[in-house]
Amino acid sequence: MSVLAEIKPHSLVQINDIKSGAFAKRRLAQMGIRKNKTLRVLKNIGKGPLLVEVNHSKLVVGRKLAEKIMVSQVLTKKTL
Amino acid sequence: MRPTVLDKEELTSQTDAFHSDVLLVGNPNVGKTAIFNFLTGASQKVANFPGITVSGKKGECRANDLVLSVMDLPGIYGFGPASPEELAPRKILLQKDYQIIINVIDGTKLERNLFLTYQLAALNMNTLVVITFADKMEEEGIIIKPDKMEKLLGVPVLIINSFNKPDLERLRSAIFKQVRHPRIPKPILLTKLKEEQIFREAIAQIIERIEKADFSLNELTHLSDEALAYFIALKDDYMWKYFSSPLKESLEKAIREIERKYELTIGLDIWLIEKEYEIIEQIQGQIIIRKKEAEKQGVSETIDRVLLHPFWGIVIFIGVMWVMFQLIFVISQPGSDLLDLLFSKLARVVKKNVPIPILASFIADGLINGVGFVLIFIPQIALLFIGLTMMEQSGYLARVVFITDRFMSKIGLSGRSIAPLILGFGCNVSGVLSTKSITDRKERITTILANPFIPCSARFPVFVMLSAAFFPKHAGSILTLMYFTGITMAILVSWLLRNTITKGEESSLLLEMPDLSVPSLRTTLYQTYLYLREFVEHAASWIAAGVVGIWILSVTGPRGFLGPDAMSDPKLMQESWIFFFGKLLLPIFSPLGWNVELVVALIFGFVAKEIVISTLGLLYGARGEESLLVALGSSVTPITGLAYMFFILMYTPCIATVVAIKNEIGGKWATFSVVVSLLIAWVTAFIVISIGGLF
Repeated sequence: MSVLAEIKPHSLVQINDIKSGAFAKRRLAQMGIRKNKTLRVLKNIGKGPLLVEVNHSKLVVGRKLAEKIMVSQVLTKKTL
Repeated sequence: MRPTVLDKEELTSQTDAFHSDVLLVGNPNVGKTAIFNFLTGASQKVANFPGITVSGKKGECRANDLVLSVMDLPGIYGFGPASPEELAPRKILLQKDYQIIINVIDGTKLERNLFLTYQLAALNMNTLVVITFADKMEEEGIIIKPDKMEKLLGVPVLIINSFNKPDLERLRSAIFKQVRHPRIPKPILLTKLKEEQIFREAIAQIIERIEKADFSLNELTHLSDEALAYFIALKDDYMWKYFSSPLKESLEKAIREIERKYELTIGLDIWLIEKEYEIIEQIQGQIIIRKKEAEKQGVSETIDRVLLHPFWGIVIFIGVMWVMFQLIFVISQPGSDLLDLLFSKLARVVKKNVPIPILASFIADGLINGVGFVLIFIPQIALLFIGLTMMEQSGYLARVVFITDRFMSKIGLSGRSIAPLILGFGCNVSGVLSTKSITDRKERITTILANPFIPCSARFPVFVMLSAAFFPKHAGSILTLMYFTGITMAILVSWLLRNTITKGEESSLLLEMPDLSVPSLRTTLYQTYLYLREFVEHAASWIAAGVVGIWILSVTGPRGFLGPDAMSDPKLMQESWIFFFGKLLLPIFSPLGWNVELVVALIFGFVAKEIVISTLGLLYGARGEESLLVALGSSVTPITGLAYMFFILMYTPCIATVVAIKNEIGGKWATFSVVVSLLIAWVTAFIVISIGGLF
């Protein structure tokens, strides 16, 4: 298990746990980022926010928030 | 019960910001605005919700003799957690003071959009579902079956392209038809949830506690027990504001007990959200077909490679800001100059032809000058809003947030704050007004309060003049120092505010990045018109009043009326109230070594910084720039002069900025801004004098 903030771009990951505060947790859930959900990391340059794709829409996730989302890699896609 | 369709008189009497007949509700970026523009045309105006910075839009929609008031609600993703900005849409939706909900859905993002649709269905109100982006759905190989959806939801479903006129006409007649013949959605969400033991127990517990507390629900009585319990369990922030604290505690305890009993470590609210998504996933297969799986490689993605690039993205952003600057502050110049010329001509004509001097001066120097001072802002603000709306609509603003956030987060702001701060270099009024796109109120307040420290273009000539007078050999370096200090102050103030009074709950940037699209000219112009109208209606009178006020204080004094000559005769001017106040304030400034002329010029500078130079010229009896340079250089020491320049840099840029602040975030913050910037200005000037004294 690793944190979302460390995931390389083009990876597909599954969310295992979200350790943020209650407000952010609810907000994430509402936007479709929730436990067991699969998401794709589109951009992550190691600093600044991440760009992820979930439910066919793209979301900008602040780095601090991404550091609280625990994920496990599903598979790596070099094609995207 | 109100009549189903209102006639015009009834409509105009309904001025409450929260009332309307038709509500446009949906996620952000679903094309609501295009629909709203079509329905309401030029009748729209900004609907300001008291105490909240985000505003909706209202307008009238006509068909034959019938008129409906339409409100475009700010975009929401669902009920549940809300920042203060998101409370107004929930209040409006829950209070039921409307006829019909038009739920606008982005067909390419059905799953997430349905999340809101299902929650809206729980409200048990007349609802029409409109799926937009029919064109994009086709491109992406998405087929949605409206008939299946209608059957599931129990309300009509329309698929439209919001830029296609016949589609929009179809929508309009559907709305009018459904206002007359309401269709209530099936409460699918609640029905499905009730199959769960956990939810059934939650309803029982919550309702029991509300009844036991004998709590009157007022506007919420129309909700069913299930719906009420659902919104409470979801911890909808608007809903929770409703309860007295003993009831709140009792409800929280009930929820905690259920969570403990069923081992819901994630919390009942998250459990409900997850359940809802599960239900949506189950039915999705029946209504949507995706022919190709989302390996999108469209034009948007290709452009995004550059726009979102950590280096090139920034280069392009700088380029875009440069173009914005040219657009706002260079192209608008001839327009502003022309207006300026017209108004000074008009003032001269009035002075010549009105026989009574006092009346002539009041009209020319007071009224015409005051109104003119507001109008010269109009070309600039119009172009600002055109640029800003296009940036927002095209989806570019979200990209800017993405690439600049890593820098802005260091001072406690997000990428949303960068454009307003940069625009401040042109004009602080524009800078303040452009914070409309910042959704987080605390961040918005911070960005607004930091903005006046950014040296605007009106302060540039003042600095050029004064640095030439006090430091003839190092004018360039001093000018640079001013800009450097201004930027440093803005950063410092932001950082300080974000760590104290405007501290956010927790840093959690989370926003949707819409696909890039070509902004619609119609929407851009409507939006610009709306903002401009708001500026003229709310800000103009205050600014003009400020200018008239200064005129009155210039032509009258403790001895009584001085006559308009007091504005051009240095001797007579010394008798005016302004000079009186200048002398009164002098002790405050004497530690800085300033004379009364310098202080008086600062009072005039409160209206606008450009006036500082002309006032100094007048007070020193200088003819032309050269003689003012000499007069200033000989009567004021360089260190005193430097302190004076720092003061000008830090204190309130102009009355228009103060009014803009008041307009955007309230009079309390405007006062705060004036007082704090005066304090900072004084302290900075004092530090300069003290350090200067050491040498």
